[in-house]
Amino acid sequence: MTTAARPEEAAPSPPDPRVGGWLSWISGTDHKSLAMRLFCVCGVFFLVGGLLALIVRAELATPGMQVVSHQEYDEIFTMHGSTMVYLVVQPLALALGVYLVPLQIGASDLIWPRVALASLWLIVAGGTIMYLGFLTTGGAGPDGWTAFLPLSSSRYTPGSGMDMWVLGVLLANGAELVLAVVVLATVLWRRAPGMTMLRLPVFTWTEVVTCMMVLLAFPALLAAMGLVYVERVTTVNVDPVVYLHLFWFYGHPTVYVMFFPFLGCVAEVLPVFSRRRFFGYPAMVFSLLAFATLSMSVWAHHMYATGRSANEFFAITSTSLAIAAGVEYFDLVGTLWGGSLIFRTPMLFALTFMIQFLIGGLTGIILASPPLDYSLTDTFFVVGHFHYTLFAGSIFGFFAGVYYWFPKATGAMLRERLGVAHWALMVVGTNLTFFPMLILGYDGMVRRIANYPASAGFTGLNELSTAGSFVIALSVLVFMANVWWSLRHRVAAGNDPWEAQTLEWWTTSPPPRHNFTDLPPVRSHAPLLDLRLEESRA
Amino acid sequence: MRRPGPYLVLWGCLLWASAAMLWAFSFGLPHDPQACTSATCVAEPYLAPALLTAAGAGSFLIGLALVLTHGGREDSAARPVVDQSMTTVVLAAGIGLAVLGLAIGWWLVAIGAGLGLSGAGGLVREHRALAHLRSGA
Repeated sequence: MTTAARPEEAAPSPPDPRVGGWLSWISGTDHKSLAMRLFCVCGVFFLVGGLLALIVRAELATPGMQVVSHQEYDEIFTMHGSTMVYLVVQPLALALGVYLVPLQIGASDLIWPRVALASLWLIVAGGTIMYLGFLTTGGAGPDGWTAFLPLSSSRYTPGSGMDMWVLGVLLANGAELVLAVVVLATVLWRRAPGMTMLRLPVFTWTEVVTCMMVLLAFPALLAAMGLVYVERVTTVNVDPVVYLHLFWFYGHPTVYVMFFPFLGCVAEVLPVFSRRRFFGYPAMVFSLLAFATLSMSVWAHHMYATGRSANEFFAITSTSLAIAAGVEYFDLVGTLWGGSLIFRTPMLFALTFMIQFLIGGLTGIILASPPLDYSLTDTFFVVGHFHYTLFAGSIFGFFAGVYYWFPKATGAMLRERLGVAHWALMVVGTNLTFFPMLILGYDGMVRRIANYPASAGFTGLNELSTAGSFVIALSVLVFMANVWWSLRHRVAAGNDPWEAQTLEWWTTSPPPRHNFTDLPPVRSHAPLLDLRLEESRA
Repeated sequence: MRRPGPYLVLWGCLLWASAAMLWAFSFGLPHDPQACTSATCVAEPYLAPALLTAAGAGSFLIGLALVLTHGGREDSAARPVVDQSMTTVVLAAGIGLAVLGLAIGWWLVAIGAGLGLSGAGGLVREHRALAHLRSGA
């Protein structure tokens, strides 16, 4: 299974006349095309969710109700949060795995491609059902992405729109659970010869840990949503604290489900654009396991203010997250240290991810402390904190990955100038939007409100935050223009335009249906780097 | 550790270690429950540590099964792959309609179930055809 002959550049396999067109788009099982379709689905939901965010920000820009009514505001911020978590970032984290994991481990496909295909369409169905709520007389679900009981019971939120929200969330997350099982099983049973567990690329390791967390945490969400549904259609009353435990047992691990794969993207980009091997690989792997353990053990820090959780334990574990995160940051910085840094667009996004996620992490340490959390809980400080982790962190990591792997997936390079413009606008927009939220929360502005008094002194910072959100929207338009232009006026990428280190860069761009005709020897987590070093010695 | 089983066992043990601490904290430290403050004397002391213990058990048992069955080996087998599966899409559409039917009406659940069943039947046929192809190869 080893060879020194690299596949010829820009030699895609001839098209199969049986495969193609809209039928293939609907029912194709190739993991690459499946992942691309999932990216498109997430992209559509991202645009819709982003549009809802702009409405929310437009409403909050000044005191008073200018854009929507109170009821519409509740529906819109609920659908924004639900869309971004359940239909964008979670599935994106798995879609990256669907595309990259088989390529990185030297496999020809996912282990159960039909199951993955079913998951794709069930995610679409779940999202559609959630949005169909807007067509009902009572409107879509208005209870926030958390749908706390008893607010989400039929007594306080009557109407079929909320029923649809609950069922849509159940369906989409159930499908994501199944998709995670497929990705995990592919790593377990489809690794190429030589690809032992301690030779998996860092990105694949982040997917393994992510999928394990999905496997163990998502059933709690399904149970929680099941309880809400039962409470809505029967006379059974569910203890709100039981619901809180079940929901957050999913809700906090999923923050890391929405973080680890994007950390993995950054961990792939940094060594390549530093011309170095990843620093501290074994430490990274074991710290990921420790990180995942802690992230499964911190959920009730969302419940400090209820007075019905073991706050001391959850304060210790939440603060300890800084240790595992510190090891990973140490590895990332160690990779950069002494390297020949190349500041291309993927690297810019990766470096910004490190800085901005640090802000998210540090504000998280503040919230990990019960006395501080008592005063900050349910304020805009929390909103700023989680947007720094999920948007300023994860989405920047995602774009690092997009600019890095786009040439592999399409065979064409993204334009560098447009990429830098996208990055610059996004950095400005992100910090302009989310940093004022931290100050607003500190000053006492509570979250989930549609209006605030003019005398509160919140107007200036809210105007700034709203302006920032429109800069983010502009940056997304620049990115879309870049994709459109780069695909229309293609600059051929070749097999390995970055001189990368992992197996996916061995095959053609885009890869053929079966990914590989042969593989190089795998002696470490960076087989192509090993090969280049051997060639330079010879 | 070349294979995945030991990593999952290790992760299960780490989760159990965390759960053990949570059991202790949930019932108060020191052991006298009357001595602890209100923050540690939680209303549902079993629920939180039980969730974490169950998660640890999940990882441990999957890992143990992999270790005992020597599962998770590297793989070099050649297999036929499926390019398309319309029956899978029909199955997914059936499930989606049935779930939507829970909010709209039982008539839609019935349509969804029918569609789902026809998709499942098609999948069985696909599976047989693939098995036939494999036996021929």
